[in-house]
Amino acid sequence: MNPIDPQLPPGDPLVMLGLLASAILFAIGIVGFLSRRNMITMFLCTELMFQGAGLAMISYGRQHMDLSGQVFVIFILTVAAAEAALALGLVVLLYRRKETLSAEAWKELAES
Amino acid sequence: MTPPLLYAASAICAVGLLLLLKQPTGKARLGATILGLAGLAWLLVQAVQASGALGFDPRVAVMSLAVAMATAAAVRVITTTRPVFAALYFVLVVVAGAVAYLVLGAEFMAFSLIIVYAGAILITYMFVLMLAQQAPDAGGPSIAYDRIAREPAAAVLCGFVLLAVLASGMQDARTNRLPQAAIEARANAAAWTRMRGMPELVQERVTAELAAAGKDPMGWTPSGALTVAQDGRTAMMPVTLADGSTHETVLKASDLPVNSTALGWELVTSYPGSLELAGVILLMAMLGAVVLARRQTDMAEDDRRAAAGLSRVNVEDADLAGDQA
Repeated sequence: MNPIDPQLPPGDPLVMLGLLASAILFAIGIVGFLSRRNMITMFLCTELMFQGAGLAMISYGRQHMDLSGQVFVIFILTVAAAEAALALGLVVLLYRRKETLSAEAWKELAES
Repeated sequence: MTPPLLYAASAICAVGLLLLLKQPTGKARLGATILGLAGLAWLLVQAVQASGALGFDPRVAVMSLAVAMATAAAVRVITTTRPVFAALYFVLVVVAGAVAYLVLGAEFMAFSLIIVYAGAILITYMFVLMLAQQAPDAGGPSIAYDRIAREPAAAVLCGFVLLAVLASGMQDARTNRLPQAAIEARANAAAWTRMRGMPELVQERVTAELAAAGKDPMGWTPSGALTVAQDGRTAMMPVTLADGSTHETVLKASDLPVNSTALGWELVTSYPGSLELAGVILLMAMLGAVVLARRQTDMAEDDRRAAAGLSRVNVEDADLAGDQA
């Protein structure tokens, strides 16, 4: 399956770049979430992943010339705002308990 | 975009990111940055080639720049050891994302992204950062526990596999594509249907078209429904003018509702239930945040009652007294 096939109609390079950017942002977000230990930075990385998802929605919306993609970005923004409020409330609560933002301080929650 | 080349470019990006996550200094850092940017550039070139489009397009250049800026800022978000800087670099990611949204034709979402993310959510992050500020240790500005990334190799491997899978999924965007004409015809039909639901906008546009055509724009009445032309690019609206003559007004694509109008219409007509649910989610998040952030007091019940100036009523004694009487 060679995608550079002259039989195919030309795609939109903007859509391709948007999808690539969404994939990159999502991958960087997951790398950061796995490798950083500061809880606030970890939540910033989840926001990076939200950005990637939103960009994919907009790109596919452009691909199909459909507004549903943009409507779903509105819902992504809503969920991101709700998540930020709850997650940051949790971070403040955890910080009050242990006086540190390090995720390592909550190691005992792991099963092993 | 053949998969082996795609995986090679992703692997170069991953190695660059891995080296950057180890907090190098000086030449090593420069080398890692150049390696990562080279891998990114290769990925970008492959993506543009895979679309099969020929010739230079300024929008593609702007989009590539925005993608490169978003990626560089995102890498800084996860490599910097200072959370405040991470939050500020995240603002840069959001701005670059908004540029990409603009180029992709989502103007309203681009600006709401900046307002909601760079404005509201990032300010909340800043508040929490300041609230939970830790004294930096004597050695430097960064916090000791987060100076070196935890298991960067495993994390980057995970990210690389994800990137490779997602990027190969992008081929779908071209292979499963309807012909451009079919997509456009469908989009135009949807746009004119949307416009039929906005009588005031139709009235305004017809008046403007009548004035442009040199007819009397006042006192006209519609004498038929809005009919869409075969190719969907224009629509006809038959009207009766004030002097009694009839005229076929032609509405063009530029008369269609703009992005924000169309988006709002789509939101409230196609997704009213989801809109209500979004409101419920926000309400629940607010309740949850209030419950979570409430200050937990260590005072016992009696202390709290005393602090509020209430005296304790001993129910048992009162009951006993009642029984004896």
